[in-house]
Amino acid sequence: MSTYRALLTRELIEHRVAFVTTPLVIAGVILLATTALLISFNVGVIRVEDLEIRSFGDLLRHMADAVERGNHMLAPQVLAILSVPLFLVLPFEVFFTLLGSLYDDRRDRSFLFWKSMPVPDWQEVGAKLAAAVVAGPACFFAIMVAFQMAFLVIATVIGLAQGGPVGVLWDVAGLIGLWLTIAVYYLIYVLWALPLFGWIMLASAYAPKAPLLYAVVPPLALVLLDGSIGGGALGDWIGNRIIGLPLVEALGGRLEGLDDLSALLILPEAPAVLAQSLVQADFWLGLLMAGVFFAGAVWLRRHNV
Amino acid sequence: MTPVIQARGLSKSYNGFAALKDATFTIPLGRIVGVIGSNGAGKTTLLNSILGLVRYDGELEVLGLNPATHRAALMRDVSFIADVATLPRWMRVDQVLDYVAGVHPRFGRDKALDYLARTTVPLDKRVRALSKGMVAQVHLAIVMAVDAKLLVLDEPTLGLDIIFRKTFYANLLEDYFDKERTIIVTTHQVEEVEHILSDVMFIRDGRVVLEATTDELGDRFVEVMVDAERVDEARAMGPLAEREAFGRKVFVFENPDRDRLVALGECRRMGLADIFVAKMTGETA
Repeated sequence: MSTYRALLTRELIEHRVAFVTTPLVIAGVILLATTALLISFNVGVIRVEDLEIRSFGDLLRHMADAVERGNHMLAPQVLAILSVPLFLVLPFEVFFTLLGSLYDDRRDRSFLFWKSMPVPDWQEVGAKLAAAVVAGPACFFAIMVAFQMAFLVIATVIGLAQGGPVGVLWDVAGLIGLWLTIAVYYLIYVLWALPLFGWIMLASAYAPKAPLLYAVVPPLALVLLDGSIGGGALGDWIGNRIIGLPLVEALGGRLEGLDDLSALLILPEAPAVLAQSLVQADFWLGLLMAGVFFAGAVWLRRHNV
Repeated sequence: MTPVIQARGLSKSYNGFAALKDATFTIPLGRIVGVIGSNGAGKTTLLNSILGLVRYDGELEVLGLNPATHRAALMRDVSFIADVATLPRWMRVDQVLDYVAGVHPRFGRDKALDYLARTTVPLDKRVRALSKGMVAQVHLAIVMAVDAKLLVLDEPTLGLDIIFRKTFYANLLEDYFDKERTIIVTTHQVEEVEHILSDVMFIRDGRVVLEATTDELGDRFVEVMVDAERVDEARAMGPLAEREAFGRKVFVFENPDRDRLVALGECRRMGLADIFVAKMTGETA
C-alpha cells in the first residue's frame, strides 16, 4: 500500500503544474470574473425574453420562480457551466502527461534511479497511468468542487447584499448528485478511451526522441490509409473515443423521454449509461487492446534502456 | 561461502556489436571489486547486466536471483549509483527521501538524514537547485542508508572535485563497508580507489582478461629497470611491456621467475594504473 502511495505521490509532485497549479489558476480567473460580473449587475438592466434583471438579487428571484415552476437543478447546472473551462483543459493535461510518462525520465536519466528501487516495472507503468488518468483528474475535480463552493459563498454574500433569495443557490443534494455524476461519467469515458491512453504510453516507452510523433503519426497514417482504401472505420473508431461518443450516445438515448437536460445530471442515470457500455463488444475490444498496449509499455520499460 | 555474483559465459550484443563476450567470473561476499577497463570495454554493460537493466545471453546469478527476470526483487538487496546526477531534478531532497522510504523496505530514513546532517545539503531545495557535488552527496546518503548486500557504483564521482572524491570513498569505507557487503566500482580515477579495493577485474573488448585480489596483483606484476647490456636477456624472458625511462629500459613481467629478475636489475611493485596500462597495451602489442 505504501508503495502505491509513494508512487502516486511522486507522479503528482512531478505533474503538480498540470494537475494543481493550472486548475487553480483557471478556477481563480473564473472566480474573479464571475465575482466582478455579479457585483456589476447593479449598473444596468439586462433583458432576457420578457425578464428584466436589474441586479443579482433580481436574478436570484427569477431563479427561485423557475425552481418553483419545476425547473430543478438550476443552481447546479449554472455551476457546471461555470466549471466547463476546467474540463476543456483537462484532456490536454492527461494527454501530455501520458506522452511524457515513460519518456521524460529516460531522457534525463532519472529512470536509472527509479530502477534502483525494488519496484516492479508493471507497478511503475501502472502508477503512471493511474496518476495521469485518475489521480491527476481527481485533483482537477477537487479543485472544481472547491471552486464551486467558493463561488457559492461569494454569490451568497453578494445576493444577501442585494436582497435576493440566496437559498435557491444552495441545492446541496443536487450539487452532490452533480459531482458524483461527473465522476461516474468521467470513469465511463476513461474506460472507452483506455486503448488510446495505452497507445500513448506505448509510444512514450518506445520513442528514442519526439514521443509526440510516435504517438500521433502511426495511427494518423493508418487512419488516412483506411480512409482512402478502406471504409474509414478506423478513423471513426479512434475519433469516437476521443470525443467520448459512446458516452454521448448513451446519454442521448437516455435523454429521449426525459423532460429536460437536467435529468442527465442526476446520478440514478449513471448505472444505466454504464450498463449500455458493458453490453457492447467494441467496449471490451477496446479494453483488450488497452491491455496489450499496457503490456507492451511494461515490456519496453523493462528492456528499453 | 556462496558467491554474491556468479557469471558463466555472459554475453551481450547491441545491434551486432558484441559489448560482452563470454565473461566468466565469481565475486564473493565482503569484497570491494574494481572493474577496470577503457572506454567502451564493456564495464557498463557488465554492470547493467548484473543490475537487471539489460537482457543478456549466458548464465548470471546475483544473490541467487536471475537479474534479467527478478530486478525488482533483487533491488531489495542491491543498491546502485549508475551515473552521476540520476536523481530526479524536479523533486525536493526531502521528497526523494520520502519516496525511497515509501518503496524500499531496507531504507533507514533517519540514517540518511544523519549522513546529510554532516553535509551542507538543504533538504527543502529541489535537486535541480543543488550543486553537482551535493547531488552526489544525497545519492550517497541514500545508498548508505539502504541495508543492501551489494552496492554497484558506475563512475559515481565523475566530474566532481578531488576533495569530494576523497571523502566519498572514505565515507563508504568507514561508514558503510563491512564483511557482510560487497561493493563493485568502476572509475577512471584508478589511483583514487586503488587503496580501498580488495579485488580487481580488468575488461578489454568485452572480455574479462584478469581477475585477482590486489594482494596477488602486487606479487604477480613486477617492473624491472634493466641496464642497457642486459636488455636482450630481459626480452628473452618474455616481458609484458617495455618502455624507456631515464635512458634505461623498464620491463614489466607477469608471473616472473623472481630470482632471475632480481639479477636483471632493480625490481619494483607496480601501481594499479601501471599494471592496467601494461596489461592492456602489452597484450595488444
